[in-house]
Amino acid sequence: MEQVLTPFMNGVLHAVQATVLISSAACLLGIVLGILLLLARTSPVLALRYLAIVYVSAMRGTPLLIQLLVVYYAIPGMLNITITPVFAGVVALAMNTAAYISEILRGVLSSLPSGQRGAAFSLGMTRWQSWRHIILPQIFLRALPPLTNEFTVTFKASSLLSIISVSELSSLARNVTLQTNAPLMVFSVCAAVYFIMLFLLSSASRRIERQVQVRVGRHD
Amino acid sequence: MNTLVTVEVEGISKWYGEAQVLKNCSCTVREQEIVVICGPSGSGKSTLIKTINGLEVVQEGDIRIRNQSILNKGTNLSSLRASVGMVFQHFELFPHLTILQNLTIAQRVVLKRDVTTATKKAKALLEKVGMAVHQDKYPSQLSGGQQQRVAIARSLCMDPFLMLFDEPTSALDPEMVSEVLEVMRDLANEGMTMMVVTHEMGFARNIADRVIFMENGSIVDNTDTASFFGDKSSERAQLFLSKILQH
Amino acid sequence: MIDTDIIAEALPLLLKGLKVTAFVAAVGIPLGLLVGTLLAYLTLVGNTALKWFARSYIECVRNVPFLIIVYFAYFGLPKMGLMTDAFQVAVLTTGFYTAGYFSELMRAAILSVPKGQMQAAVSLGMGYWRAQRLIIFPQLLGFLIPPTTSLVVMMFKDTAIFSVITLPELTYQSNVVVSESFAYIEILGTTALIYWVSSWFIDFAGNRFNRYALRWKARP
Ligand SMILES: Nc1ncnc2c1ncn2[C@@H]1O[C@H](COP(=O)(O)OP(=O)(O)OP(=O)(O)O)[C@@H](O)[C@H]1O
Ligand SMILES: [Mg+2]
Repeated sequence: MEQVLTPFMNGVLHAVQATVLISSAACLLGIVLGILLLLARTSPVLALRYLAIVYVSAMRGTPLLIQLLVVYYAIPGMLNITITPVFAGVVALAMNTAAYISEILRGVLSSLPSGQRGAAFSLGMTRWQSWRHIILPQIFLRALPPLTNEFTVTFKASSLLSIISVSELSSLARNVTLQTNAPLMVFSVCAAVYFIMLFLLSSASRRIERQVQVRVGRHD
Repeated sequence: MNTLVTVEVEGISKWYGEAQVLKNCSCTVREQEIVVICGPSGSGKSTLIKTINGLEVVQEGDIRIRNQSILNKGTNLSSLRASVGMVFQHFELFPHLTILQNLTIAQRVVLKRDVTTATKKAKALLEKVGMAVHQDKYPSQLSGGQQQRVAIARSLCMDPFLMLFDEPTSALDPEMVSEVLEVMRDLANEGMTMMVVTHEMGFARNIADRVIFMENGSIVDNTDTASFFGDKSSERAQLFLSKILQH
Repeated sequence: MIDTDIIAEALPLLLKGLKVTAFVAAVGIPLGLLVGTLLAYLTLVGNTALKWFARSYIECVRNVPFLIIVYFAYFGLPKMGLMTDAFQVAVLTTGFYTAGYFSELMRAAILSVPKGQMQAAVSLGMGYWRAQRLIIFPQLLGFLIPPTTSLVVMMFKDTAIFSVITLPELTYQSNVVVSESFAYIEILGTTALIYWVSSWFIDFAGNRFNRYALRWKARP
């Protein structure tokens, strides 16, 4: 058993690091793209709004694996350039998660009780003050739980990058099973490693959710 | 006075985790008696009335309805509940069913009445509470007072021998309170046995035979109506009364 | 620029792949909904051991990437003398994964119906299961159908992963054509379009069903 796991254990730290870095980079880029998409979606320019709608629908309607293949093979082929698998992977993940993030933010924005701004104005706040002190903090607080949930989704999805030969946790497991022919053991351990990381992330997310519920109040 | 006992609550206690919400409560309700339960918010009124048809379980004590212990494993809770009506603060009509369906569903699935019988019964009771014209509407299309009258009719469809009310008028706009109280008064005059949690002191004074006053999970007073509104009730109850009668 | 002949030539094969994809989804997802409902009730009314079992199942699905579960089933289970067929693996892993997510949706939906509704039903003499069926279930559909539609779309798209275990579904067939023709844009684009239209159709059906199930909420 130890012999089987040795090659996996040798590479696991490096692989975990790669998975964490790739997912974090994709999430950060995804937030930036997501906010841009939200701006386009709520912009007064009709063409921009439609562009955002079509983009979101396309990203949500097609498999990430296909998106990954398009970003890695089709687009560079068309432009006659080559890109590294890691770069393609991060971009594809980010483009995918951005669509979901923009929808989360849009939902939060529209669920904000309209009375809040009225209350802020009636206390004599200016437009900017009401955004700064009342609206933005609430958007942030309410978006936090669904956003952390979306991060766990992206984190899991990063395993697909192994298919375009990015070396991370899943590809390590796949390669080690080819060497050792002990898939039960190796994939179980690999699943456990994912489990621990994601469990930490989702417990943090649940704790945030509980705290946020107190601070934004519940309304039935 | 009728001497048949309908409800016997004997030394019940209930805890939510560490917090004790009912402390050794005892009371009896005789056939055709109207008992009002009042007391400050959080004193355990809802909990007490819900234990009586087994919606809340108790850890200590015993509850007997017509001499049948509801804590006894052999008791058929469903058939007992079917013959004890309960009216809730927030009506709890079934929003996906029409008014008529709200009144027939339990008759059909619990009492196994056929559609014709159930519908006939439902229509008669809707007539009685003045809601017959609304039988095909959905609950969301009615006012609060109308919904509560329908909820009372829904319970009456099961031919209950005891009716429990948990603050039936406290979620209503003031102008709708009297239409519901009127239905309850008619019911009392027909000889229904009733336990009513309410803050409507006018109703208590005019209709109730007895008033139970609760505080912090205990029954502090349990006296006939005249004494309760005279000066025979406890200091705590006097204070409570003076507070709510000020308004 | 875009070679329509290649698309026309590849289309029959792609549609053949779509059939496999649709079949896996049509068997695996309902299986998951069934098991998920069971799990939801286990977490609500089960004894301690059953609750614990259901929680571990759900946490496993939430915290392990689908790809790893598919690898485990495809490469690992035959070592234990169980099934070897890619198609069985696809259906069962789809069901397994769907169940974990759906049980959470189901549980949340059951709990979202006001507690008083159960009490009212029970105080009219209905038993727990009868009240669940006649009173709670029709009301929870409104909470259940929209997120379930998203889940079905997600699992439908995730079937693309089965291309890595050589199940001849849509993505697999697409890869076959690409490796012969190198027409990345045309073939991947067409494949994406097929997925997109299918997802759109699922969404549409979900919306329709939701409106039908909630007809009692509309004011005539
Ligand atoms: N599910 C529960 N878990 C923990 N504590 C509870 C629960 N339900 C009720 N309580 C507590 O039990 C006590 C009694 O509640 P109950 O609802 O019976 O009061 P009440 O007299 O009906 O008050 P109100 O007039 O507000 O309806 C309260 O202190 C309440 O906080
Ligand atoms: Mg109460």
